Amino acid sequence: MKNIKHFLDVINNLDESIKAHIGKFDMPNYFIIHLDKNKDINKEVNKLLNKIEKEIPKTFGSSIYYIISELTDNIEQHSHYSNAFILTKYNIKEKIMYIIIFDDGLSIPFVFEKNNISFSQDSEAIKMALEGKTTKKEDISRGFGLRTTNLVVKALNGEMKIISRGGLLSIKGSDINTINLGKEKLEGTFISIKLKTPEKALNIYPYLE
Amino acid sequence: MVKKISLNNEFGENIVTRNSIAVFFKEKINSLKDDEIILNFIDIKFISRSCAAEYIKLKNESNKSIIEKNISEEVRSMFDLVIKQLRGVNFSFTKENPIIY
Repeated sequence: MKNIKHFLDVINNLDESIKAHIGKFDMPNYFIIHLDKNKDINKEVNKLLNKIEKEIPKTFGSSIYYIISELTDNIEQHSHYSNAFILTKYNIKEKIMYIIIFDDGLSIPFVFEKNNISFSQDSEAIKMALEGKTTKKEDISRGFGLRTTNLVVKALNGEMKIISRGGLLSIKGSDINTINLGKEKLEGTFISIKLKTPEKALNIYPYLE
Repeated sequence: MVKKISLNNEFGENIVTRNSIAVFFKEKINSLKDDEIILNFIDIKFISRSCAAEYIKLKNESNKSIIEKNISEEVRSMFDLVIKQLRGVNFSFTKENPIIY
């Protein structure tokens, strides 16, 4: 309950136009974890994954684990956050999995600016991150996180929305819609993902090669 | 001397963040006096792509002889994927076998 209240306080304090893009939450049905610098992230995410394992159909395979671990790692590696939240909900009736990840850190456009990566608008910076642009270019094992997350979302016929500072990207299949938010900006990054339950067991690995 | 470490005791069932692997190598593996280390993957259900990449990179840099045991099919698939991705970007493996199955 404390985590839910904390999350709602953060969301309620956002500008109205940002809140409109984020949408409303059916909170009691979400499982939520809160991350801050004092917590062991691996331990907290393990709690979440163990809970999810009991609730979602086995046909998802390791796809949900993949998405949550990559996005959590991105927060830890890049965002310099104070607070981050991961929310999940499986709707049995709709057969839909919802994942929401929010951090109040630096945002993708700001991290790119800090590393002299040029872009024209914030939505373009998000698109570049989605295509594998990384600030850790000295390490060739980097730049796979958001790009491969998108591949897994596609494999599940899912949808993903990314809001970071003044940019918004909405992805469904191969369609990517971009919006620039104007004056009001989000401090941090908000990602929401909606996934259909696969009818047959999904092996994510061929999609990632 | 050979040191055996259970990864489940260190991380739980899922190994999620790159930092947790980095801290494990710095504070555990590389500070051990033992030259040979056996890492037991029993009851590890999932390793993230970023952790698998960090693991391979740090194992590659370590002076220790590290041998993996009891790797599940799921974890093996992730290591195989990451090894393929790293070969694709010309990562230079100093060790003949990045992971020993």
